[in-house]
Amino acid sequence: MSASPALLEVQALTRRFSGVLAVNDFSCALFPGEILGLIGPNGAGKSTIFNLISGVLRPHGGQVRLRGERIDGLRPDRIARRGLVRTFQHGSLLLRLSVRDNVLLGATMAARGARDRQRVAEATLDLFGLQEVAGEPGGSLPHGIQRLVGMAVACAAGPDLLCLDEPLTGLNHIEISRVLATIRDLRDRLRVSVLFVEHNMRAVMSLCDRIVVISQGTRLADGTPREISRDPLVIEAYLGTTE
Amino acid sequence: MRRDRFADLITVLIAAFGLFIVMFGGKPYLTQAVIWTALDIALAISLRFMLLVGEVNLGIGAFFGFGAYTAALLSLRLGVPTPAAILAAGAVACVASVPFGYLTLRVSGHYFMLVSFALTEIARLVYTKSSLLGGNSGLVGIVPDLAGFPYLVLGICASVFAALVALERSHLGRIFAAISENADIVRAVGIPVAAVKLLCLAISSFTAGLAGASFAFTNTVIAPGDFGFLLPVFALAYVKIGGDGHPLGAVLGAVTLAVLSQLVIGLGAEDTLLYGTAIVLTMLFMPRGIVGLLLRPSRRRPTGQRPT
Amino acid sequence: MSGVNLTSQLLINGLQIGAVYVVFALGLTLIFGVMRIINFAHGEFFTLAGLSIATAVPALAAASGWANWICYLLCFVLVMAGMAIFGGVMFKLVFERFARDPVGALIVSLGLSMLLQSLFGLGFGTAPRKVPALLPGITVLAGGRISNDRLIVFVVAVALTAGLGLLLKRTRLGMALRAVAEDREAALLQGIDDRRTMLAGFMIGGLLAAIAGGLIAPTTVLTPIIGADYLTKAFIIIILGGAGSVVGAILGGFVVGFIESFAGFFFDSTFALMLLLALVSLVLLVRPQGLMGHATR
Repeated sequence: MSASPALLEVQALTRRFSGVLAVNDFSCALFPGEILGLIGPNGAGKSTIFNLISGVLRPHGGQVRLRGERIDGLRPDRIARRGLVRTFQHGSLLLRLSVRDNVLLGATMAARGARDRQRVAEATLDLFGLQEVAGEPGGSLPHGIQRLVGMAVACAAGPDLLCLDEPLTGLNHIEISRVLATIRDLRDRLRVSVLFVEHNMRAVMSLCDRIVVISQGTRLADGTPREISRDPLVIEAYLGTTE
Repeated sequence: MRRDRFADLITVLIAAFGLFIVMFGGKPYLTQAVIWTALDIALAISLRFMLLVGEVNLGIGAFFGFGAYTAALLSLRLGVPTPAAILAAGAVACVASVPFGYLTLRVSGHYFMLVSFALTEIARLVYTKSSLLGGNSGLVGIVPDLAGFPYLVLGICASVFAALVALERSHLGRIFAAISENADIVRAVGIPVAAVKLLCLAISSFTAGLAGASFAFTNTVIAPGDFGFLLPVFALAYVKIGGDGHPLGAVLGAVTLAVLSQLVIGLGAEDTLLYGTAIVLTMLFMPRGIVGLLLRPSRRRPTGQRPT
Repeated sequence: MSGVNLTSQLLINGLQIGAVYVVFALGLTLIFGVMRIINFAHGEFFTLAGLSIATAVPALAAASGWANWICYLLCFVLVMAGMAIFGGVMFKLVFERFARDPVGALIVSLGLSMLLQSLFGLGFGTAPRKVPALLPGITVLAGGRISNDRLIVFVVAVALTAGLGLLLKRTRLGMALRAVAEDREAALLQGIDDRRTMLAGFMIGGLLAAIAGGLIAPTTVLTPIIGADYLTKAFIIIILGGAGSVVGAILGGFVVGFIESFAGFFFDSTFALMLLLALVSLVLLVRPQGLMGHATR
């Protein structure tokens, strides 16, 4: 565990929907250079927590801090400008725009001027291996490539923390490998920290430095993949299902 | 891409043809027809500009009207020279749109549509009650103070058209297209969507104001009835019937409806029946408009795949 | 004249005007709830029903010699049946394909509105019409006077609103409507047929507008363009109350009724509209989801 102060700190996060407590006193931390996985059974509240952190929803209690500054309650675009950029499970790229235009859009706020924007976009396309499809409209690409484009768009915005919303859903093995390799690349080469929500246990176990397990809106366990795979509470929560 | 370029060429040709008629046509009736159509095109392209962010600005009637009345008052009461009056009118319409847009565009949902409709209607009613603005009878004697005024109007309309198309094809236009398809992604990369929409409204209102001011000097007479809710509906008709996929659509729509409405008047029927029917039929059977029929639907937006 | 004071009178006027607005706005908000669109031709349902009744009743009375109110009731039922069919046809022909496409629905309904207004002018003529009083006379009540016809309108409007509330809460159709409005995917998962539910919602919505038009026919002069005026007010109502909210439409309707009554008396109707616009601006600034709407975050 790194000794440097946390990049993202979540404290006692709470959220209700029509009186029902969906997220209940949830806390966790993410350190610079980490890949942190958020896992849990269906309906545990992972998506809600994700939306609370990224500003799509307002917390009813608790705090979220990015580099020590509070971001809870801020609008999503303001949070993004501070360095936390997220993707969406359904639709993280613009289908009617070309891949290049998608990435250029992503680079808008991070770049200074048109030339810089071009440079960032080309570099991002290069990093993700998307040069060949750069001219194609997003909607015409296979699912796995679309996911990569979505990540590229988010990356072009120059985040310190990239939040991925179920990036592997619906992908085949080859596509999954490519996405996982790209995430590792982002962390190693660009020093982007990554937080992601996923159901694919094998991928989570192989990729993450740390895992936080959520159950019924609250944190159940927090540790390395090895620790988590041995935690009796976790095993019970999942009823022994590991992929 | 090829077809977009082709459409651009047609647009320029039509503009040149219009200019030719004004320069050499001889009959004042023809010149007037071209000027009216040019103003309609300016109105349509302004409305279309906001459609790029996915908003239907029914308030364009109000901003057109603000432009017209501002120019009229500046010219009649303060003797401001015509070009300055027109420019100032555009600025007034633009500034007026900002608080309105601030309130209505940051809210998700259809409030912008509804309130903009109400704005146009209520503005019209306010004109009828205002003695400064001439009440129900409006203002008369708004005469341009320079020779060759028709050329100024054509110049204004052409500049408005060119500027809006240039913006559409710039990075800003890329952002507009993204917002209209999926604003969540745009927010997620840090772009302040509401502010961008507001910018779009401000620009669109500025050009609508310029068009309104030009209308005031062209018509020399303005009255509240000119700026009611029919105005945005006509503008919408031009855009939709011409086709909103390419700026040429605004031109084709305005020209087509100008021609059709002449025929309709000849038959003794009403304008609103024509426009209403045309809109409904187009939406049901020809949603991409005339331009959509001429060009195969382009999978790319005009901002295209080449780096700007 | 004893028993009448200004405030009570204005309150009563506001209640009565408001009740009609409520019925009209409920129709609009119901359609928005199930289809997520604003129907700009909503006012035309109102106008068509009102003009039809205003034309049919005097004609029937003259032809048959029956009392006004009998003719009115007969025509009312017939016209409303016709309007229900009209609503169904409009849905199938025009609106169904624009469900969940607010911009498309806006444009097509605007065109439809112009088309219909034009046809009304041609069909009914532009001369204003009105049904002669059904129950001539005035009732004095709670410190104000109200014509008997307007009292009936108020009572019927309130009953209708209550009936709609019962429909939504207690019947299967009502629950389907609410389910689709709340969460369409979840409703589909529960096996609710969203196409048929939208059809029902649209027809009921249009019928509410028609009923409002039919109700005011004996009390107000009707022209082919009266729908637009009501439409503007309905927009204000649903912004104030929250789009899609039934309670919001009720609250908003009465607020607008009261403001119109008071501001209209002390100033004039244009001022009342400007005041309403200012109120809308305030709401958008401070509580954009409306009085009863859900916060979006």
